[in-house]
Amino acid sequence: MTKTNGKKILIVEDELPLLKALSIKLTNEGFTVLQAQNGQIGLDLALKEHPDLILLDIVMPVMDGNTMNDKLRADDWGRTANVIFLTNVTDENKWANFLGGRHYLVKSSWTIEDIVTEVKKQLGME
Amino acid sequence: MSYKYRLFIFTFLISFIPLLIISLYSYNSLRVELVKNNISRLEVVADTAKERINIALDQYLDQAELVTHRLQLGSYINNFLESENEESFEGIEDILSKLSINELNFNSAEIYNLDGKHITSTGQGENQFNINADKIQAGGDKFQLNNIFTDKNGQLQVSIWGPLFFENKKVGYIEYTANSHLFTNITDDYFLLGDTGEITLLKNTQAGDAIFLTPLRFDKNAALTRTVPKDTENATSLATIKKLEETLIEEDLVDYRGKPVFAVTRYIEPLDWSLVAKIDQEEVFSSGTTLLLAFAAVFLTTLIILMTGVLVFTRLMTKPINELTKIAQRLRQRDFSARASEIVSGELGILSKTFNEMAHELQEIYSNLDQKVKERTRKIESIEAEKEAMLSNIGEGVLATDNKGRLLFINRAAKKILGLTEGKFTGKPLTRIVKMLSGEEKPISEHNRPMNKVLQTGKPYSVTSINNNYYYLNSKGEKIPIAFVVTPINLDNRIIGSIEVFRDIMKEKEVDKAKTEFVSLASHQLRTPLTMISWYTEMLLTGDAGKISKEQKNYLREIYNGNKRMTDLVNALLNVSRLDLGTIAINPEPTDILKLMTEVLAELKPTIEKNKLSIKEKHEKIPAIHLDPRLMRIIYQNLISNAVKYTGKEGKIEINHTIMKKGEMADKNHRINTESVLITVSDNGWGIPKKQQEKIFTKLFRADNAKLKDSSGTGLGLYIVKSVIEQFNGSVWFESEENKGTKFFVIIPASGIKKKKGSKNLN
Repeated sequence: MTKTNGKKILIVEDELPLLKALSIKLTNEGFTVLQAQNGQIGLDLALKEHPDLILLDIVMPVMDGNTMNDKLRADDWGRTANVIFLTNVTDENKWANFLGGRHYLVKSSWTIEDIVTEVKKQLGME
Repeated sequence: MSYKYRLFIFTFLISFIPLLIISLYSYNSLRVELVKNNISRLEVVADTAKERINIALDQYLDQAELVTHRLQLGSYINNFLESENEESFEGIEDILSKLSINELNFNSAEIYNLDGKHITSTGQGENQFNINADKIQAGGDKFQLNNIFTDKNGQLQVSIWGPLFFENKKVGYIEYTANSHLFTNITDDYFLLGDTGEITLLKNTQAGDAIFLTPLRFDKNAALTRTVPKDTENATSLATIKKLEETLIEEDLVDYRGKPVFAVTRYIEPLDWSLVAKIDQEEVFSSGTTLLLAFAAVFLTTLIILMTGVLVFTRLMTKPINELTKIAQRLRQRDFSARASEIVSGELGILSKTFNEMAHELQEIYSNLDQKVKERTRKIESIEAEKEAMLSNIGEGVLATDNKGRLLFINRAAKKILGLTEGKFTGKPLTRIVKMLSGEEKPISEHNRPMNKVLQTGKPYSVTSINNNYYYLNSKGEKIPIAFVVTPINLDNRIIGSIEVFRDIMKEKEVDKAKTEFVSLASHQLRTPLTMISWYTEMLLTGDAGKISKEQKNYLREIYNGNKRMTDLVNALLNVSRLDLGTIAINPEPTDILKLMTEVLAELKPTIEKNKLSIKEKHEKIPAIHLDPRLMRIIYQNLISNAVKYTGKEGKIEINHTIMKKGEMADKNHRINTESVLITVSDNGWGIPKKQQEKIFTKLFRADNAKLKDSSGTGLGLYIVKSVIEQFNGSVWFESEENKGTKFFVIIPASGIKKKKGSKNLN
């Protein structure tokens, strides 16, 4: 059994295979992983569980990542929440303005290993 | 004042004043003449009267002498005196009663003795004057008029006394009384004395007053009763008192009636009487007055005739002038049919004729002109109509304003776009007619409206990209996205207005939006499966799903590499599509391009070291340039990775940065036209075959030798590089020889680029 390192990560991603891959990888690294497949579930979980980091996809049904982020920031805890956006769209005009200045990764350009590294870096580990 | 009246008044004054003067003068002369005439006549009358009085006196005296002589009264008296008997005395009376010789009637006689004592008389013996001693002394030897008096019957009598002689010895005196008619006949004779003239006889009374001796024309009872007191002023009878013979022509001379008279006085010395021939001044002048009236009548008549004549004449004169005036007025009002009736003769005739000729000419000219104007107008109108048709059928909205921003013109398309179909808008300020919004959703203030900016600066203002968000608010309050160009209208170096052409770009924006969304969608849909393959393959390779055999690892690697290539291709294609669709977002910021280049080199370090390539760098100090670093990075990535990819082991790559000034030559074919950075990336690699060099920048093109050496290129890199550099207003070209090497040149203007609002960033 993998040992946990005490950090909680919330992954909000609507593509199930991608969600699963990230979960497995991060769990193997010792993180506690929470999963959400749309922004609404993600928001509820975030507010309930207060994860140390949120990996947030943008294009999702029910509630997209942008909206969830806005709602999250309205919350006292949410305002300080650690969020990395994961996306495959950098080119829609609404996202272009949105992403500029935010921490985001283009999924298709990042290996899953690098994502894990980035997560650790973000949490001040290693 | 009209000519007619002026002439009238002028003639009036010309004729009236002299006439008046002449009249007055004549009148005066006349009066003088009249006076003179009358006075002359009066003098003649007076002299004649005086003569006649003397004659009358003589007649009385002569008669007395005669009678006395005939009657031999002397002898009788003598007898009486000697005898003093009654008989002789009766005889005297008897004789006396036979007295009546000629027309002279001696009415009575009184006889006196030498001492003057009355002896006897005929009649009643009333007049028993005693002839006093003075008289005897004074003139007792001749007959003389003693007195004039009224008898007890009121009759005017004269008394004549004289001496009685007997044998040449005076024996006594006799006094006759006779009718005064010899005198009164004279004074009653008004011949030559008109209606008011008369001759008056006066003598002084003892008191010194003057008393009339004969009946007066206007007072028949005046004889010996009426007096003129001696202190009366200006009285004709003053003459008496003074015993003068004068001609009195004084205005204030009056007679016993108080009426102004002219008088001539004479003195009858024997009688000590005055004779005054007088005539009323009024009468003297009356003929003058009558004459004057007649004269005045004539004068007035003449004047009236003259004036009438003048009036008629001036009328005659001004009538044609008035007519010509009317003609002139009609001509002025462009009625060229006006013609004057041609007066045959004289100056006015010539004038009328000339007038008519002039009118005729004007008529011709004007009708000619009229014709020409009509033609021209028709031409202009048709041109205008064409223009109008053109303007109104322009598909884009056109707005023209004056230099104060008031609308001069709005075409049909503009009205349609803005929903301004009803109402008049010309003359109103454009900023009130339609509101303009910029991307921030706030209406643009009047001051910042492009039109006002253009009017102020005289420079055009255009917003033509569909990515700039300018809107007009239409009449329904809807936001209409527009692209527009506003330019100033210049005339003689002054800005007289502005003209704007705009179009509704809603469709274009929608198309753009559709393209954007398509690319985004494609991007998302293509990348997601690639990510999945990539991560799962990776996890398999790292053993997350369990141990794998070497063979499995190899196969998985191929899958992984294939996927990577696919990812790269998808990325490149997406960028290309964005470049093609023109929707790249450019966010310029001051960029240290050398730093970018260094980062890119660092990324490629593994491959560089693997191939033992040597990198030589020579850079001038490049200041920060205002451009988009992500796009700049792409340029470096493509050029440097190409150099790395297409150079053999132990090859040499050289990268240089130089600052070039305007006018310098980058190479023999390229002149710099603005201060720029020249970047060169050269290698001694495989080069580009001459035949394929022209296609190097085209999409998906890979040279044959590149395809052989490395199958993993997309063929899109240089196309992207070229597009981006064009966005930077720079240029790119290369020199290459197969198997010798390639040198790429890039010029980036130091001024950098403006921010361009696009919808996309390049990956």
